[in-house]
Amino acid sequence: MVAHSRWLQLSYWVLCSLPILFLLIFFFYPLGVILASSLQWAGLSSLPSLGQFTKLLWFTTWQAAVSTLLTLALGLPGASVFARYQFPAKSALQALTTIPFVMPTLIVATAFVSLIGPNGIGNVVLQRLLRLSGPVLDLQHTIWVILLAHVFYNYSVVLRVVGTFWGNLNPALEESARVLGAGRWRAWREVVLPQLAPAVVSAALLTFLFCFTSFGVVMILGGPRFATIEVEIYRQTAQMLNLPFAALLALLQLAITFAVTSAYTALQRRTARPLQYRSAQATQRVPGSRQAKAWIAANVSLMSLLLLAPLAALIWRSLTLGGTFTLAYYSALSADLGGSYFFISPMVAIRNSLAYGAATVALSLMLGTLGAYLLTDRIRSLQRLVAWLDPLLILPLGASAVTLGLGYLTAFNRPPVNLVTSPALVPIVHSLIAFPFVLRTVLPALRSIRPSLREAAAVLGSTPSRVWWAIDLPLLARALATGAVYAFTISVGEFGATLLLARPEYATVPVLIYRHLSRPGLANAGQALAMSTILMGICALGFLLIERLEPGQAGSF
Amino acid sequence: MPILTVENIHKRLTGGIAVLQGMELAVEEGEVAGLLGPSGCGKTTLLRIIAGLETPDQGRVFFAGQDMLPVPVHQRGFGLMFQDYALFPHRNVAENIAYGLRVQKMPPAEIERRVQEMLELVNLTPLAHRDVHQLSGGEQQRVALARSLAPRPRLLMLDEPIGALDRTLRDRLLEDLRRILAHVRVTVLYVTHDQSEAFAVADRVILMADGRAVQVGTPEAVYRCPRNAWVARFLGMHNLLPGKWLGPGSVETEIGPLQVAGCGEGDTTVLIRPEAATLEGHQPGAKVAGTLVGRSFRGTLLHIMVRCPSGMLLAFDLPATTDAPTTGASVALTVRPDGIVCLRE
Repeated sequence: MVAHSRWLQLSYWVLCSLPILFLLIFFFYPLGVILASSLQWAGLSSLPSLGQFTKLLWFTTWQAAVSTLLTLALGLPGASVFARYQFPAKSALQALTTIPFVMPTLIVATAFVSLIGPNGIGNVVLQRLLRLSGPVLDLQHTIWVILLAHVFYNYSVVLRVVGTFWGNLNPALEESARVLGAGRWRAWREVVLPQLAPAVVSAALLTFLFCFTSFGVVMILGGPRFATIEVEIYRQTAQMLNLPFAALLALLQLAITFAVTSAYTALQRRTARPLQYRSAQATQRVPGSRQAKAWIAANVSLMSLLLLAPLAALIWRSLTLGGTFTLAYYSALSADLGGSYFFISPMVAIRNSLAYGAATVALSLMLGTLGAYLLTDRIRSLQRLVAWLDPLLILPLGASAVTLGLGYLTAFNRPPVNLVTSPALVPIVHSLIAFPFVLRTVLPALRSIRPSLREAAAVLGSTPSRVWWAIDLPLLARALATGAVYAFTISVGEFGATLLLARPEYATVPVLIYRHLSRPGLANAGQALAMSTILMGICALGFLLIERLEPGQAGSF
Repeated sequence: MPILTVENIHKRLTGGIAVLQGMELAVEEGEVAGLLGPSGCGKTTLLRIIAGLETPDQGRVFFAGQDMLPVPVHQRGFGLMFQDYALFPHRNVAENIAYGLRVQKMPPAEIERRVQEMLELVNLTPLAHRDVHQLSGGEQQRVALARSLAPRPRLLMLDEPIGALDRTLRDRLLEDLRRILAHVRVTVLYVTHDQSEAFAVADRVILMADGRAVQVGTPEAVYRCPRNAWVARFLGMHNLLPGKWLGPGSVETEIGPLQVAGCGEGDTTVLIRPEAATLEGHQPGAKVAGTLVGRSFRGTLLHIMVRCPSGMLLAFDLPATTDAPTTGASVALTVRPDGIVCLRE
């Protein structure tokens, strides 16, 4: 490392410790408060019976496990298509299939309602075709729609994680097995599958994590009958005002997610690349046989149906009223329909969302970049610390947003730190969730800057700040831009914590959508659809921007 | 009757590049056939087509009289050793070698016996239970060879088997390969871009360029009578002179008239072998005079470059003990009559 003045070194250390401080104050402290309060109230009658507790845990676990298995079952064939073949419009399809993943879960819920709800497109079309009077698919508020939505959401995880890994495997291994006499299926089972195992387990862990902490999907699509731990935390906090129980649940969820994220990061460290790595360009081929083409066609159709149909249904429903094309919902956005105290106009909500988004971008860019510098520092004494910091700095991803919101409500609701009434709380929560993404994006870019570049600049006479400005910043510019877009789309789409924390006058678009959805009336539903479509558009745009800046990055961790 | 026949194979890769353009090949049973050609001439693609990993756009492959095209890869009974060995990772040496035998559903005792036999053949018996990623390059190569030989293939194809190794290792392993192939007596198709390797191993070489066979013959025959200028250059002979037929046994070239047997009428190309020259003036043969412009001692021979009065640059390999003049001096060489050849094309 180039020698610097002591004052410069000191300021460097102060800056780099900011992410850790941020985590300590805004993550560990609220969680500590939750722990304390749950221990304090343990044993009182406000806690439910053990039976209720186990039932909740059991449901959360098995729905996550079944969702994971379903996603793997559908996603692995899709991954095989992406890994092994080149076909027209492949990159477009690849980009499109990741869009569901960056959609806020709320949008996923409304999209599914638009497709297979009682008034959804699916039902309308089927009714017409089969000439029935009532809805054909009555999946609303059943377990099936929850599972389906989970598959929708996580299909792209399997596609990306397993597909990329698979594409980098050396095809000569499978070919050797076939020349030695093994049939296609046997060669795949005995040679490819063992190599693929780490990627499959990685994808499974990630999917399990997302399904286990599922909130929006279960609450909106599942209805009052179903509750995961996350949903129950929200209900106990916001509706029953039973904070001790909520705190206990939050702790349980945190413990389980920590176990899963630890397993995931450990696996990632060991299996970043396949043992016999080949570039994807070298291994992919144009499909020759009819079998191969049929296989590709079947999977592409499934992908389109499963992943694009709900989103298309959402756009469609927002533009039609009773079968006729209309922009009424969109024009009604500027009107204030409610008139009640808690009701704010959609334009105000949009303004709030954008403002929060901007604040989140600024905060998480700073924290994520500083965190990346901390993790790439070469001082030996820091190396051991870095091994701990790595999983620690992405821990907020695993903690549920609702838990965080709850933590803030309990920790920051009294002096000296009374933030609950302040609008600053929301960007802080958003940044907590977003900055790990920024970190994950900036880190590889930072690691790829050769130290000799900085040293050359220093030898040529640049001051340290100039070195950063002239060397680091341009090389990091793309990663920073990508991180900024991530942070923005995460902030704009965040639902769980914002629902708990945002004061009525500072509500965001997702919160407003939720409120509209939970009220009867066509106008309300229409406005919710219009806002959902706009939100979806913003997220899709953000995603396409990410793909532009750093191809292949979106959706990877 | 050759056991392997390849007829008029055409293959285009994605992107439209024609990698095989009418390739023909015939290999006798028990023979080691060397497929020799520069990188990109289609050798590996041809191997893959014969193995069944790719289908040709046109043409057919016959083995023992049977058309191989409808036969899937795993039923052909061939052996293929990949350039990067493609050993199954996280499996040990013995398990790798046993793979083909397990697929054939051999009884376990048989498998064990055969694996031991193979390990002895390639000199790797103490490493039977070593994980493959712990092996050195040379050891991996021998495991790959053993694995492809274990199931007793009807045809063994080797794709640049020692290409990935360093010089000293290559010479040693080439010797091992020759010994093993001679011992096993299986029909072999050996693909390489290295002429000395092909000559060392093969009974017959097939020279390949631009997706076609250019010349076929024993190493000696090909070296003695290269078919055209391209073959001569590929085999390391660069003294090529355009010539005009003067009369029977005589050709006019820019360094004067030369006595060459077997030249046809009209324009032709004359090759002067680099090893056929000597500084001894009293030997019979063609005289070549010029200025010595370069010399480099190569251990077993002395390589010199001579510029003739016409401007032509000729290269010769003299015995190492020759007392050659210094650079810049004039030099007179005598070329043995059998060292001057007319190329047929």
